[in-house]
Amino acid sequence: MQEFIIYSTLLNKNMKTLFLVFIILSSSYSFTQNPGLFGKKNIVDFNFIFSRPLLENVMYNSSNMVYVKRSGTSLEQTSDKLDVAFNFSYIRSLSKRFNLGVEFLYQKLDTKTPLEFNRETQLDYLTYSGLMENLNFRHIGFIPKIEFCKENSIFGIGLHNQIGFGYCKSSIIEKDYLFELTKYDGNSSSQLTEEEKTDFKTNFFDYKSKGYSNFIFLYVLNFRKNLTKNLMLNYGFRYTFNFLFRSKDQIDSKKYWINNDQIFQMINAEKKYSIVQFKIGLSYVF
Amino acid sequence: MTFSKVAFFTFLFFVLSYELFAQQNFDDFKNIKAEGEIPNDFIENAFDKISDDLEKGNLKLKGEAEKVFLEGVHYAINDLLHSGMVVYGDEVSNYVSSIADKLLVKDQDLRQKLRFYTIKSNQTNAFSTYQGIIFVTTGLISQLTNEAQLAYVLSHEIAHYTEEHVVQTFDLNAKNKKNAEKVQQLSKFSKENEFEADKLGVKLYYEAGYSKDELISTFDVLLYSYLPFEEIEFPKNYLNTDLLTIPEGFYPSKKYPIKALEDTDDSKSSHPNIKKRKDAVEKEILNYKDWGNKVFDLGEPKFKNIRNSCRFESIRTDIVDAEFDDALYSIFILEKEFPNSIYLQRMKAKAWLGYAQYKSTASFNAKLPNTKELEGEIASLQFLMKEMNKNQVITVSQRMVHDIYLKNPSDKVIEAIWERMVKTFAKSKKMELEKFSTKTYSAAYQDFLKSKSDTIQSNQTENKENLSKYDKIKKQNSSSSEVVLFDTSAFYLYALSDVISNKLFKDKYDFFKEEIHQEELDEDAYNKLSPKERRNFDKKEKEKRSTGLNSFIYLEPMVYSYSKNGIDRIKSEKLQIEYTKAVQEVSKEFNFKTTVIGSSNLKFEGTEMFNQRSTLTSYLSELVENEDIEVFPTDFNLLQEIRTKNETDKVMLSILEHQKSNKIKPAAVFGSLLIYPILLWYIPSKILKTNEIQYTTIILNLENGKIENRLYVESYENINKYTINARVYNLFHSIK
Repeated sequence: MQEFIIYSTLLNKNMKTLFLVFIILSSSYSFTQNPGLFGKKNIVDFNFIFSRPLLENVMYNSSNMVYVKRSGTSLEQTSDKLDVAFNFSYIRSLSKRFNLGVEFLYQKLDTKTPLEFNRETQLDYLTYSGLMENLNFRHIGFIPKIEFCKENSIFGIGLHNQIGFGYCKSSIIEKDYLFELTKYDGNSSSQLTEEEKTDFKTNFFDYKSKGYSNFIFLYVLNFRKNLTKNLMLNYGFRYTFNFLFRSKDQIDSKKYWINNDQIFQMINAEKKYSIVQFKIGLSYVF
Repeated sequence: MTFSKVAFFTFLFFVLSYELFAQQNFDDFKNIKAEGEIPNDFIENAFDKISDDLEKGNLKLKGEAEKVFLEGVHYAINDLLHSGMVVYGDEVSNYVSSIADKLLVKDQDLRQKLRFYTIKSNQTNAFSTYQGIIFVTTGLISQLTNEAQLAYVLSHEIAHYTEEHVVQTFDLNAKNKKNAEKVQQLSKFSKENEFEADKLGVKLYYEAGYSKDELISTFDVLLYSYLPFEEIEFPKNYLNTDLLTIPEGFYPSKKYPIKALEDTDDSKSSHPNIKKRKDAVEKEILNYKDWGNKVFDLGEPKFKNIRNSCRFESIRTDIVDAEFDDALYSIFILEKEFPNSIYLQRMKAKAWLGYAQYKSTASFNAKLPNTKELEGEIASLQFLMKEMNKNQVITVSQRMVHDIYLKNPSDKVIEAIWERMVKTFAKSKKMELEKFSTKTYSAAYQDFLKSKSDTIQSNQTENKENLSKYDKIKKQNSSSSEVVLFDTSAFYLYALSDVISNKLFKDKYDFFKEEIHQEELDEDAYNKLSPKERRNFDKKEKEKRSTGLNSFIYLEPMVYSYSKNGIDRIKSEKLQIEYTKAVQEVSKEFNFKTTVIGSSNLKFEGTEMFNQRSTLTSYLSELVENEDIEVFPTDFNLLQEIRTKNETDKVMLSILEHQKSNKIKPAAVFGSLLIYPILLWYIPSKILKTNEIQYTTIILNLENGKIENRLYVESYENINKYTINARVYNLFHSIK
C-alpha cells in the first residue's frame, strides 16, 4: 500500500490547518482589559548595573589619561575597568501598554587620571609625571520613567522599553589616593619632596566643591523572566546620556593640581564612554 | 420439543437478533464513532511511550538513532490518533480485528501485539506501524468487493510489521535528514520491502484458507482506487423532476475513458508498479497447493454491511473536504439501495448548499478536476457542475434543497440547511425573485413551440399577393427577426416556478433580504463615523462579544514549539500539558464552569469525551478547509448533542506557537557598523528578543457553528508554566 501518502498528507494537513488558522486569525481581536499580573499591578526592581568604557576608543582617547588601579600599596596601569552601580525602581501599571515608575540610582564611577601634572611656581615650570590612582566619583540619581511594551503583554513579563529623564548629582569620593610621581624641572628628574607630597594631598583638588549636577536621559531595553508567580529575574541593557553642568564658582583658579574644570571634563568623558550598561537583578510583583 | 431444543432455538434467536440489531440501520445511519473502553494507545502521551520503549531497548537501532526514531514514530502516530479521524471499537475496527483473528489463529503471540483502528478517510489505504497498530481507511473498505481482499491487505500489513520494515527504512534513510523528513520516511518502504510483504502476505492469506482467485483482484482495487467505489452511468435526467429540467446540452456528449495503467514506469517511485507486484504474487501462488475457497469467512451480509457503513461515512468525509461531486455521485449510487435514508437526504442537501456557497465565490472550480482530468462515469456530473454558471448552480441548489426539505419537513438538520440555503440565495446578487418564471421549463418550452407554430401558420394563411412590394419587404424583415431560438441556458429561471410562491420560502427569503438590507445600512453608518468614533465603536463591539462568558468547553490547546530542526515535539507536548493544567487552575480561580476536553482527561472521561473531541476537531478542520464560505457544520446534529450534554454553547480552542528568533543578521551588523551607535542597540535587542510567542484563541458558538470571537497575542517573553498561567489568567479575565 502507498502508506507514506496518507502519512504525509495527514501531517501536511495538520500543518496546513495550523497555517490557515493563523492566516484566518491575522485580523483578529485583542484583549480589552488590563488585568496586571494575576491581578497585581505593582513591581519593585532591584538591579546591579555593570558598565565598561566601550566607547573609549571611539569617542576620545588621550594617551595622557589612563586607568590606574591600586595593587596593595603600589599602583598599576590597567585596561579592564568595570564600573558597578545599583538601582531600585518602583513601577505601577497604568494600562495594557504603559507603566509609570521611578528609579533611584547609586553609581560609583572610576575616572582616568593624567600621566602628567604641570605646576607653575613663581620660579619654575615643573612637570610631575607618573601614576595617580583612579579618582572615584559617586553619582546619586532620581529618574522618573515610563515603561512601555507591545500591546497585550502581561504586566511585568517579557520585553519592555523604559524611557526616563531625571536628575543626578556627581561628587568625588574623599580618600587617600595613591600616587607615584617624579618631578622634572626641565633639566633633571627627582623624587617629590615631603612638602610637595603634602601639597599634592591637600591641594590635589577642591574637596569643598559641592559636586556636579547633571540631567540624565535613560533608555532601557528590559526583559523580565518569571521564576515564580511573583518573583522575576530581570536583565537588559541601559543607555544613559548625561548632561553635566556646573555653577560659576566651580570655574576656579590654578590653586589645585587638578582644577574643577578638569574634573568636569573627566566625569563628562567617563559618562560618555559608558553609555551602554548591562543590568541584572530581581523583580517582585505585588 | 425437548428442553435442549428450546434452549438451542432460544440461543439461536438471541444470536441472530444480536447480529440483526448490531447492524447499521442505513435509513437512519449514524456516523462511525469510537466505542467501548478507550485503548492505551489513545491515553498515553508520546513522551511516556518513548520513555517506555527506551527502557525496554528492543530496537535494533541504538543511541541517538534510537531516540530520533522513537520520537518520530510516536509523535507522528499520536498526532494521527488524536486527529479526530481515527476510531476504535467501532463496527469497522471490530470487523477488521475479526479477520485478523482468522489470519493469525496459529500465532496468538503476534495477534496479541496487534491493534486495529479505522481512519475515516477517503484515501484507499492501510498501513502498519512500529507500535503494532494497523490502520485501515474507510476509503479502502468502500472500494473492496469481498472479505478476502481485505484479508490480503491485512496480511500484507502484518508482514510489514513482523519484518520491521519501518525500522529498516528509517535506518537506511536517517542520515542527513531533518526531523520532518524522517517522520515521512517512517512509512515509505522500499520496493524490496513491498515485494517481501506481498510474498509473506500470500503465506498468511493461504494459511487462513482464503481463495486464490481474489488475491490478484486486490491489486485492481489499488489501481482504480482513485475512482468512486462504483462505475454506474450518471443519467442525464437524474436531477430532473417535474419542476426542474436541466437541458442535455449541459452534459458531456462523450464518455471519458479511465486512464489508469498497470505497467507504469516505476523507476523513480518507491513502490513497484502494479503489474510487477501482480506477476510476483502470481508466481508466489504457485508455491502453495490445496488453496482454500473462502471469500466471505465472516459472511457476505456482514461484509456488505461494513462496506456500506464505510461508503456512507465516505460521503461525510467528501463533504467536509468540499468534494461535493464525489459526495453526490456516491449518494446517487447508494440511493438506489437506500431510497429512504434520511442520512443521504441530509448529506445531499448539505452538498448542494456547499455547491451554492462555493459558486458564490470565485474559488469554486478549483474543487473540480480540469476537463483533461475527467475520467469515468462521475465525469458526467463533474462536467455538468463545470458547465453551469453561478446563477444556475445557486438556483438548482435551492431547488434541490427545497425539495428535500418538503419531503422531510420535521428533520431539524435539513431545516437548518434549508434556512442557510435560502440565506445564500437571498444574498446572491442578480437573483431577485421577479426574474424567475412561474412556469416550468417544459411548460415554457411548450408555449414557445406553440407560439412558433402559430406564427408559421398565420404567415402561411396570410394572403401575400395583396401586399405591396414595400409591405412584403417589411414583412420579410419582421418575420426573420421573429425567428427566436429557445434559450436553454435560461432553464434556471423556470426552476423555481412553485418555490417563489411558496409562503414558507417567501417569508424566509424576505427575512434574510431585510437582514442584508439592515447590514448594508449599518455598514454605511459605520463608514460615516470619524476615526475616533469608529475606534470607540469597535472597542464596545469587542467587549460585547467577548465578555460575560463563564461556561464553556475548552478543547485541548495546540502547542508548537519550534527548534532549529522543526517542531520540538517533546517540549511542545510538555507545554501542552502545562497549558491544560493552567486552564483547569485558572477556571477554578474565576469560578468558571469549564469542561476541558483533551488527552489529559481521556483516561478518566473515556470514549464519550473522545468522540466529542473528534467531532469538534473535525469541525475545526472543516472550518479551515472551507474558509472561503460560511460553512454549515456537516456534523450539525453531533454538535447539538455536545451542546446539550455540556450545557453550553461555547467552545474555546487555543493555539500556542513558540520559536527562538535570535538570528543576528550579518548584513544588519555590517550596516550598523557604519552608524556605530545603532549596533549598540541592534545586538542587545536581538539578544533579548530570543523567544517569540503567539497565543491564539478561538471561541466557537455551537448553536450556529460560527466562530464568535478570535483573540490573538504576539509577544516576546519566556515560556514556562508561570507565563502560561498568566496568559490564561489574562484571557479569562478578558472574557468573564
